[in-house]
Amino acid sequence: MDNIWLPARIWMTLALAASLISIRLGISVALIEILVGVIGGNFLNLRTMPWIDFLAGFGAVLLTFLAGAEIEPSAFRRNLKKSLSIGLLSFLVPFIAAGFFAYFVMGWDLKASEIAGIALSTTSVAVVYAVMIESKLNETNLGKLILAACFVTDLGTVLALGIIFAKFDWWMLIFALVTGFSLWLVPKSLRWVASRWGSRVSEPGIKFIMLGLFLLGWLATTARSEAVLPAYLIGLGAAGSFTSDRALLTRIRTMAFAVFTPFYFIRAGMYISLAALVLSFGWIMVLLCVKVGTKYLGVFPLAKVYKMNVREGHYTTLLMSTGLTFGSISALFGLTNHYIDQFQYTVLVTVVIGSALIPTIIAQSFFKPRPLALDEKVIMTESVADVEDGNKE
Amino acid sequence: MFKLILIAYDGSEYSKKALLTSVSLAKALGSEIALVSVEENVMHYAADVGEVKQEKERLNGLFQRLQREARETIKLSGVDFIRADILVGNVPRAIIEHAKTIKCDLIVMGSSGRSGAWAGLLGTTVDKVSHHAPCAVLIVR
Repeated sequence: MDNIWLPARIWMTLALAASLISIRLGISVALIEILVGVIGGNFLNLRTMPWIDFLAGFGAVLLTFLAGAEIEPSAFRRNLKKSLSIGLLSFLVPFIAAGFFAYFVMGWDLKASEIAGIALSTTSVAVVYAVMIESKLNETNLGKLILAACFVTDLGTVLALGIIFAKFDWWMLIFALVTGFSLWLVPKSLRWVASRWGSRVSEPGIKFIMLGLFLLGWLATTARSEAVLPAYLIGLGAAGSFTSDRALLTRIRTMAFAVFTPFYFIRAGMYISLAALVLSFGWIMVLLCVKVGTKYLGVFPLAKVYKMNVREGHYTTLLMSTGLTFGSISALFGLTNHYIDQFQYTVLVTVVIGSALIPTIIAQSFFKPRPLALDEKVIMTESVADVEDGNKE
Repeated sequence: MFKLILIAYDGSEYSKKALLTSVSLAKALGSEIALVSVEENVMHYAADVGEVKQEKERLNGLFQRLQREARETIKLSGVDFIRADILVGNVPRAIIEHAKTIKCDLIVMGSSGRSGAWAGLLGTTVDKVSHHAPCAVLIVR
């Protein structure tokens, strides 16, 4: 029997190192794990194994579940029409345009171009959220609208990933029916599980969710769809339940980030070829411009329709151009299923990472909306409360 | 001379010295004191919204505790204390903007704090505040 403890030790050493580096630098552990994976794959002869592939795969499923579960249902309903239209165009225009560009200009085949379109259509809710909380924009109507639109964009991404490459047979029908039924069942069942078995050491609530994700994942892959699709939908469905039970979501996140997602991100980085990156740097820059440019085509006009001022329109569009988790998941799906090769994967993931960094820097530096009156009021309110607390003490 | 003194406080050893120095100065001059702390390193380029929220909660808890301790020190000294703020973002920029907003006459800060790994590359908080502040700056070693 192969000794799995040595590769396990190596991978967990890399994961721990990434965790410590991320704390020191103040940058998300996901990005550092990808970079550590790049080093591992290019210099340390890091290789994967079936059990690592499983942990990584489930890490991607948990990430998409957690992403869906973070939606604020009330904010989404309040901005329904605007967030649906902005989110839909934010997905569709880059998906079609980037796919066409990959096919007609870069000469990629159809499947590879579809993967390119999907990977470059994404928006990172987490990147956008982190940018917004610095200026408390997440508490404004504009901020909540942008965040809700991001969820819609990512929904478009997972639907495309789950449908375009699927085989439309009886299994697909069963998968669709079971997923639909699960969406109806999830809120009720989660509430029942929490009330019956909440806060137990054996964590039946987490096991219940994992069972659902494994079942739907099996059905999805049998139907030649993708396990992240039902995971995101179930997350969206469960979001309302987690509003009143954040503790369960926190424990799931702890489990995901401690055990599963490091394998996912290190594996994602491992397949990036530095040689390919250097050779394709020009195409990477061009594709980054395609991503941002097509987001402008889709989102900026709508921003004007909804009466955002020019600064807010640029800010919204640039933030909607970011991508990280879903973009890398899409690219890795393409590589794993042999729709793209390592060269194409390197190009796409590098563009995705670049889109997490560059548009946010530009948006924050030049187009941050100036709700100065709101900022000052929020600061003053906290100050008065703090002083009153001090006086009472 | 200095009607309002702003203390930039991050709980580090030098910022505690800056706090004590400010209190002594305020007592001698009859000044009022304001306190500001800045949360930096709210998780950038995260994979998950929850990761950002959890980190923000951790930082909120940490800085609220630090400010509570600082306010206790100020209260015991009998100096007039008018406000305490916890801001989020780039530390030097937040301190400078806040100093402009509250129109303080002096910023007091420790010579070294929680500048983080980027300080060596991008310049320390003290460097930037001392160069761009709208008022006098006292750096405590």
